[in-house]
Amino acid sequence: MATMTAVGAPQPPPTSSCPPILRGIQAALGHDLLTEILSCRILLVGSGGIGCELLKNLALSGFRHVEVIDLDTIDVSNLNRQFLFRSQHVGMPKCVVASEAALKMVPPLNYLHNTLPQADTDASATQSENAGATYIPHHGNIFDNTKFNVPYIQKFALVLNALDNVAARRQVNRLCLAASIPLIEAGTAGYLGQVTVIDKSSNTECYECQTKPTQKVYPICTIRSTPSQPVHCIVWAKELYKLLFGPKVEESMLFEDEESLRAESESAAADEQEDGATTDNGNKTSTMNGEGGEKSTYMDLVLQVRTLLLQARSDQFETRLSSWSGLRLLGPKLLYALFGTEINKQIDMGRYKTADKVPSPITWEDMESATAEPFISPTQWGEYQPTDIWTKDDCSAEIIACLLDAVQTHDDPNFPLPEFDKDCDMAMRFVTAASNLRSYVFQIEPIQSVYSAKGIAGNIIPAIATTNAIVAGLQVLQCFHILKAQLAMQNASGGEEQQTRNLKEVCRYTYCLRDKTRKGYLLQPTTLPDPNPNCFVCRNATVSLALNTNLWTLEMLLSRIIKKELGFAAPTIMVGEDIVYEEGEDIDPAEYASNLVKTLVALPGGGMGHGSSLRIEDFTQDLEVEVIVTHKENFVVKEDEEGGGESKVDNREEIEKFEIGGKKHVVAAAAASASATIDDASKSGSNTDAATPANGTKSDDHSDDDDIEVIEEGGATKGDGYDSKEPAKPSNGGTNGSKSPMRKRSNEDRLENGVKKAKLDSTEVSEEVECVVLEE
Amino acid sequence: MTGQAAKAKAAKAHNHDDVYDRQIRLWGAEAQKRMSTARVLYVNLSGVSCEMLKNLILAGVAAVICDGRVYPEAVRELPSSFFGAEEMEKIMNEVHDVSNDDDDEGGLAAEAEGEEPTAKRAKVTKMTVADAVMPKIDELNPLLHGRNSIEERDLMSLPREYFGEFDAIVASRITVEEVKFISSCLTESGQNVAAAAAAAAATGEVEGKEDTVGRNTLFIVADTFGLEGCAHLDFGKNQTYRREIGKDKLSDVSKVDPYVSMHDMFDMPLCKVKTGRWDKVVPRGLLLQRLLMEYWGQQRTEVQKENGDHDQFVDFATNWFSSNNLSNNDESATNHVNLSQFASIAAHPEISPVSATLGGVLGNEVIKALTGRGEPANNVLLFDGMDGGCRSFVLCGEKEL
Repeated sequence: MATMTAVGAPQPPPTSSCPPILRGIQAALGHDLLTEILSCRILLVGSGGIGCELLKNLALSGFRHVEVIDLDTIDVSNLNRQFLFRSQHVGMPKCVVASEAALKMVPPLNYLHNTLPQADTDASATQSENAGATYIPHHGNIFDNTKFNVPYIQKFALVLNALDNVAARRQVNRLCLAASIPLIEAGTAGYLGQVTVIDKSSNTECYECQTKPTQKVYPICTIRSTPSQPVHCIVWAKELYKLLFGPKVEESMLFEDEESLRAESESAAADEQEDGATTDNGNKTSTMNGEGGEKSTYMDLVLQVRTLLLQARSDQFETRLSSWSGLRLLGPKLLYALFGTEINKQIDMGRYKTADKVPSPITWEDMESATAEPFISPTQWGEYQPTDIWTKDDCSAEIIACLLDAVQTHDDPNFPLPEFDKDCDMAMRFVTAASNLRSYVFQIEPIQSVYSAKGIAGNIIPAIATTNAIVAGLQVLQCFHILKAQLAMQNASGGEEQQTRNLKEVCRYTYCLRDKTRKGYLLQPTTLPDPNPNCFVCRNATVSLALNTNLWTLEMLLSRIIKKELGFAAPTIMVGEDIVYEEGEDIDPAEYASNLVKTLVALPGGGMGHGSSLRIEDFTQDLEVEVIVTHKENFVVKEDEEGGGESKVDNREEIEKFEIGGKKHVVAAAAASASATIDDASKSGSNTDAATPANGTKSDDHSDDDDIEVIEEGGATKGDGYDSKEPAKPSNGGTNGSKSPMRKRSNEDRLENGVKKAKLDSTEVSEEVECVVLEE
Repeated sequence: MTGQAAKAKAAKAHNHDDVYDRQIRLWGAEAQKRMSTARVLYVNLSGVSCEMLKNLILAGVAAVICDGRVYPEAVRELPSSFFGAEEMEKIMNEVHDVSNDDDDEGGLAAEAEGEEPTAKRAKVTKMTVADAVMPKIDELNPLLHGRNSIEERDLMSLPREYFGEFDAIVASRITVEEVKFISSCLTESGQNVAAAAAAAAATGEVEGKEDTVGRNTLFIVADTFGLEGCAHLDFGKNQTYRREIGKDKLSDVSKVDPYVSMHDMFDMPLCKVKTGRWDKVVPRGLLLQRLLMEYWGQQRTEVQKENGDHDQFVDFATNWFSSNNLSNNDESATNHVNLSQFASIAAHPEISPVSATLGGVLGNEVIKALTGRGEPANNVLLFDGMDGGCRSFVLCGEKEL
């Protein structure tokens, strides 16, 4: 099909003329498959931890035409496992360095020159004297549809995924389904990993058939007013970072201006009658049990700080100096407002009268002594270690130091600073200090070191070389099986492609486990699962969506649901016959701008009200889905259990609530910038209502907090095919015909035991995964 | 000056933490310290042991390489990122050219200042596999620079107490005789350590005790062949571990069942071995690894025929099966080995993804033992690339079950 093997390849040459490194391949897999390996084209998406291992395996197995897509550059913390990279490569594009290194490992090929079809060569190919082997890096984004589209995917025999995020995985999944090209998917998290094969024509489960747990999202009020865990404080501190240094101050959850206050005030009015714990701070509007309506005490100071930071961009030394001294004066005042006055105000408003612990705000005296001259921030001490735990005073001093650093880093980067980046030293020091200071105020333990805060703030999932090596090895073995099946089909059909390959017979879903199963398996193969009939991606199922159609605007629908939850890249939205929104290269964004701000019911074509249906098409993904809308006014919100016992959420969140698939309750994600450690995400399990099942999938799929879950034999029963279809299996070099006894046992193993299935929540989300920061 | 030195040291420590950041987050700073002070002896490099070497070097575990075989001849077929095919073939061609010119006295003199010193060195000084790999592993993890080394002595001439100095020994392409030698040396030094610990306990020096008890030398013998691989593991009598429970919590220390010594594993007649209740016959992977080890041992002693002589292998294997009482039983695994087909795999056993997978699994087992976290496999691991399964079972003699 998609491969380009010469049919009727010549007789095997004598072993001695095969490149020595490939003699093992020839002996184990046979000459025909080796020929296929030498000529086929492989696409690899991702050249990080798993990608490096894959490239090595591919090169040493003789694959000669590989293209690699990756948009990342090399970081120091990659060096412990992404073994094609050296310290001198830090900052360079991963795919370029990795392709070059891998190409050097491709065994030189002298003996097959004349028997191989010439693959088209690409001008940008990394060429070597190695007779036409091409490892082509594409330093770019898989979402770039001008390059990486369905026709592009169809150039390849198969696609290997080595990605670290759900969004890119979904995109590749959709491209491969549309192109009918097999995809070998893999991921790791720590010691755990898994490999699977997705192939439309073999009727396998696709990447989106099962819900991928999305990241933990915290209600805004938990973040803004009632934190109870370190992670709440860290999320808050990242918002504060955005507020002080970020490019778009108004995107911070802590931002307030006249308009936002008015909106808040209006919506809060609805709640006023409830329980009105009145306040006596003299403000006319703040009689409600909330925070709406009144400007927080720190907001003016924040704006002054930003003005000073902006001023510090000046070329004039004097101006910079004055902004520096301005910040030196203003800093303690800002901190006092954030961690003193504002907290006191909230206490006075009665916000914590039912809370277990009443916060202990810092005093102005605290602040003065912590930031008095000469002041040395903890990171300026000689013996500073990232694992140190700072005191309250240390935290104050460090925050001031960060503010002053922002002035001094005049050259690069200029204020406003880029978005929070866990690898930016100043950003991490600031977030650690600010979140700890908040933890001290709210008496939340444990206080985090810079090191541990980085793990939480950057959502770092530990990755190691060994597990990456395992899954990459398994992926390349799946590669062999798929190529063998494709080859067999070509030969059998004699040109007519009637026969369908069934990769379920030769490929496996394999788990890499931490602890052996009862039968001793550390790598546990299972049958490739069937598709979920409710999957809108591979089964064309209808999606049901419930939300408040009077409040949601098209823009919210587009960004929160169509792009984020459903994963569309360039959607066209239709209500009835009318296109209400469209995007793409040749489409003027202004054309639908007026629709974006409209509420759903007010859209053209009769609006999107209760019972209406809309169609979403994405040309770039070759995907189309029908969505049935249900209007729903009220969502009962269960607060995070640890969320301080509050039973309702402020109204700003209310308007973004929705349910997809009609089964699982979803607390929406106004706190979209919230992020969590994986541990938090998996611990909260069924509590993690933010997980959005794309389609009524079993919500109990991730309801326990163990890494391992026992599933019933389910898929394993279908494993019968393994035995009964034994003769149909490829005979890989003839060694496996003799293996049925073992295979049978391993099948019984599955039946008898049930399969211990790793519940790799984290893995499925973001394998290999360095950092998934939730923002955007 | 001293300030600067301290600064440089601090910079290096910082670097250390940055490089190992992800794994420290996985197994903790304490465990990383143990990893960073550990040393592993690699006896003969193969595809699978090179993968373990790569994984453990990256993780910060230093290596001592004992492989005096001639480079590149010995590793020409070995699929590893350490040995570039192009470079090896170039050297092979040059050596070939040089040997063609051997009669030419003048040629030799000319070569002294010749254009191809690499080829010359390869021929004259017989670069070993260990020599060839060392710069590559130093480059792979500069933080380990100075801690890796080459063991130039012949394996069988090493002092008996030598092996016990290592945290782990990883052997490939090794003969049964050599396995038994290393194992008995380890048993001796283990007894010495135990005796010393007992003496220390008697004299009241209790602090040292835990350290010495925990210091088992791990011994792994691993090979791959075609799509399959097999490894024997002997982690000593005193292996303990803790299990991870949720975030940042560890269970109490549990003891791993004492391992059957590697020597005893290899002493068991294959027709009598028991592997637990799941296997009715000797597992195929186990059988094949033993067969290959015996075959390689015999090849070393006999006049070397062309590597991969098909008939010679089939004859050898047939005799070996029958002399081990393995071929008479209808249920026997040997019925499922097509010797004629396996002969070409025996001659060219290694492929990259199988090495990578088994090397990764074994790397994790070593890490489990070094960090004391997670229960290590006991005592045989089989990998089957047809279905991607890897399982462990306890190999023991009949009477022990």
